[in-house]
Amino acid sequence: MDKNMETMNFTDKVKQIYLQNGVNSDSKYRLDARNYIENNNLPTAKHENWKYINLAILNKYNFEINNKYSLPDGFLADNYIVKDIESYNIFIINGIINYELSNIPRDIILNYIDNNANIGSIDDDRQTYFSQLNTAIFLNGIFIEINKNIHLDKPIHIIHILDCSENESFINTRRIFKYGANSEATIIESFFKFGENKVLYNSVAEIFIEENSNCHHIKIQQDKKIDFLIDFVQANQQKYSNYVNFTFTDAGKFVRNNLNSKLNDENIETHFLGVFIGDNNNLIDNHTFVDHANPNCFSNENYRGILFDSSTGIFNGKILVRPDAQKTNAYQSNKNILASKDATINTKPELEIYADDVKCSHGATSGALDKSSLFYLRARGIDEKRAESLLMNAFVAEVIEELKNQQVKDYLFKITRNKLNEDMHFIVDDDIVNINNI
Amino acid sequence: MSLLKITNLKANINDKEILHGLDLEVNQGEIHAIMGPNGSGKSTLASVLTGREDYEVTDGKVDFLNKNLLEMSPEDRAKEGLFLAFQYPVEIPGVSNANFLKAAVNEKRKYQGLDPIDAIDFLKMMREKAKLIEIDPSFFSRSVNQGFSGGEKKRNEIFQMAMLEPKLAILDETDSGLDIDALRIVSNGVNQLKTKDNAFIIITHYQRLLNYIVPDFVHVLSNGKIIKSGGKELALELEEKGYDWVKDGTI
Repeated sequence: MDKNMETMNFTDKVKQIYLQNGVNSDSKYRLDARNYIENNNLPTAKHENWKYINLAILNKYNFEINNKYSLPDGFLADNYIVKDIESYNIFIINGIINYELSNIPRDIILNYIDNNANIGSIDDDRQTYFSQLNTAIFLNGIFIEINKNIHLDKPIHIIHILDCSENESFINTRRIFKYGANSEATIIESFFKFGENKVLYNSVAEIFIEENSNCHHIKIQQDKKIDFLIDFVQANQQKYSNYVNFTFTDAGKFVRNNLNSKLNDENIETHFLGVFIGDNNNLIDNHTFVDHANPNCFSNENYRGILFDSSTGIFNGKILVRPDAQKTNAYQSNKNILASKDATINTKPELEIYADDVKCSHGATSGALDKSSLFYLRARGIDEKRAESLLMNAFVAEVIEELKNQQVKDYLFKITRNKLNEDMHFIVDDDIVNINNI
Repeated sequence: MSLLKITNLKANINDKEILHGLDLEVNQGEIHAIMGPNGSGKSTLASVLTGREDYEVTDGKVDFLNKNLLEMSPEDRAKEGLFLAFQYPVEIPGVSNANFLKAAVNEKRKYQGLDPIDAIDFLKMMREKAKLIEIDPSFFSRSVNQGFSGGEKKRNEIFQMAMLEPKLAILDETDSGLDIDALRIVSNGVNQLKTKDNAFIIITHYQRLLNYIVPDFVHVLSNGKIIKSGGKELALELEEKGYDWVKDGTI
C-alpha cells in the first residue's frame, strides 16, 4: 500500500493510485473516461444528482483495487444458488467468470471482457462519476450474447461475488449483454459479499437488445453486508424490442442504481420496475432515465419503496420525449410507505417532453400505511402487526406481479415476505383452479 | 342468553358528543333493526362497537358475552365473534380475497385454540359459502374489493360474514346502493346464516331491507339515543309517517 494512502481522500486515491491500475487501451472511449476522471473530483452534495448523499464517507476507507479471482477459503457456491429458480448459474468472482462453478447454456456466447470490448453506448450526459471511473479502470467483466432466434429455456443467474476477505476492496466490473434479433432470455443478477472487510462495488452494464428481442433483467440486491454498491445499467433497444428491468433492493449501507434505456427505433417497449426496502440508517438511491428518441414507443415505470428506521430512499425518474418521438406513451409511478417517523424519502419525477402528440403521466405518493385498510383487516380479526405486514406485502407484490416468470415471482414474493415478516401461505391461483374439480 | 348489553353509552368524535346515553340489549337468536335519520348516530354506534380509534367513549359500558367489549382491541372483538359489515368496504389492492379470509379464519381459530385450517378444507368452505351469496369462485383470487361495484362490495361483506360465522353481526347500511337482485341475494344469505345462537343488528335508513330480513325488534335512533322500540310493525309505521312522527310523539 502506498504509505500516504491513509491521509489521502478518495479523489486523490483515484487519481494517484487507482488510475495506475487502469488498462492500456487504445479505446478512445476509455481514454476519454480516464481524462474525465483526471479532471474531476468525487461529486459532493452540490451536484444535482448526488444531492442527498454524502460520498465523503468513502474518504474514510483505504480501498485497494481488487482483481483477485481465486476462490477464497471457505467459499461454498451452493450458498448462493437460488434453489427455487431453475436457472443457468454463472459465478463471477470480483468480476471474473469462474467456469468451474458455472453451468452455461448452449446457444449463448459467454466470455471474459477484453481490453477493447465493444463498449461505449452511454451518452455523455448520462454518465456519472462512477460510470466514468468504471470505464477508465475496469479490468474484468462478463460478456454474454444470446444468439439470434434463441428463446432460452431457463433464466441465466449471474452471481456476483465480492471477495473482500483480504483487504478493503474496490471492485470494478463491466458487463455486456447482447440479445440477437428475435431472441428472448431472462438474466438475473445477484450480489454477495464474501469477507469481513469493507467493499465498494462499482459495476456497469451495457445491454444491446436487437430487433424483436425480449430482455428480462432482474437485479436482486439483498446482501446487507455489502457496504457500497453502485451499479449502472444502460439498455439500448432496437425496434419491436422489449426490455423489462426489475430491481429489488434490501441492501447494506449504501446502494445507488442508475438505470437508463435508449429507445433507438419505433415500436419499443420498456418496463422499469423496482421495489426497495430500507432499514437502519441505510440509503437506497434509484436514478432512472427513459430516453424516448423515436415515435410509437411505450414505457412504463413502477417503483415502490418501504422505509423503516432512519433509512433514506431516493427516487429520481426522468423521462425524456424528444421532438421526433410522437405517439409516445410514457407512464411513471413511485409510491412509498414511510414506516417510521425518522425515515426519509426524496422522490422526484422529471418529465421533459418536446413532442406534442404524446400520452405521459407520472405520480408520486409518500405516507404511512392507509388507516382505513388497517382497521378493515383488524375488524376481521387480523392482529395489527400482521395487518401491517400484510398491507406492506401487498404494496410491493403489485410490482412483482408485473413480472412474467412464475418462479422468479414466487422467489421475490418469498424474500419480500420474509423481509416484511409475513408468514402466511400465499394461495396461488392454481389452488383455486384445483378446487373446482373437488 | 344475552350477547350484547349496552348501558348508557356516550361517545365523542373530535370532542363532539354523538351518542348521548344509549341502551340496547341483544339476545341470541334475535334480529334487531336500528333505524333513524341521517346524523342520528347509527354509524357511530357501529364504529364504537367495533373499536374504531377515531371515536372516544366517555361514559357507559358494553358487555359482549359478559366481557367488557370496550377494553378489547378491534381484532379481539372480531375473534370473540363480533362482525361489522362495513357501510363503505375498503379496497385492498394486492391482497386476494382467499388470502385475506384465510388469515382471518386462522387468526380466529388460533384464538380459539384450534389448529390452522387445512388449505383444501378452507377452499371447500369458500366454495360452499360462495354459493350461498351467489359469488363466482373466480372472485377468490381477486384483490379484496378492488374494482368491485358497490353491490359486489356489499355481497363480499356478507360472504366474509358467512366465512367467519360471527355470534353477533352488525350490518351497517348494507342495503344502501343495492339493486333489487343484490338485495335479495344479501337477504337470503343473512336469513340462511341466522341460527338460534347468533344475532344480527341491521342498521338501515329505509324499511325496504326489512321486507326481506324480518326483525324481531325495531329501534328508532335519534340524536344519539334510542327513543322508541317496538316490533317489526314499527318499521312500517315509520316508513308511512316519517321520523318526525316519533320525534314529536316522544319528546
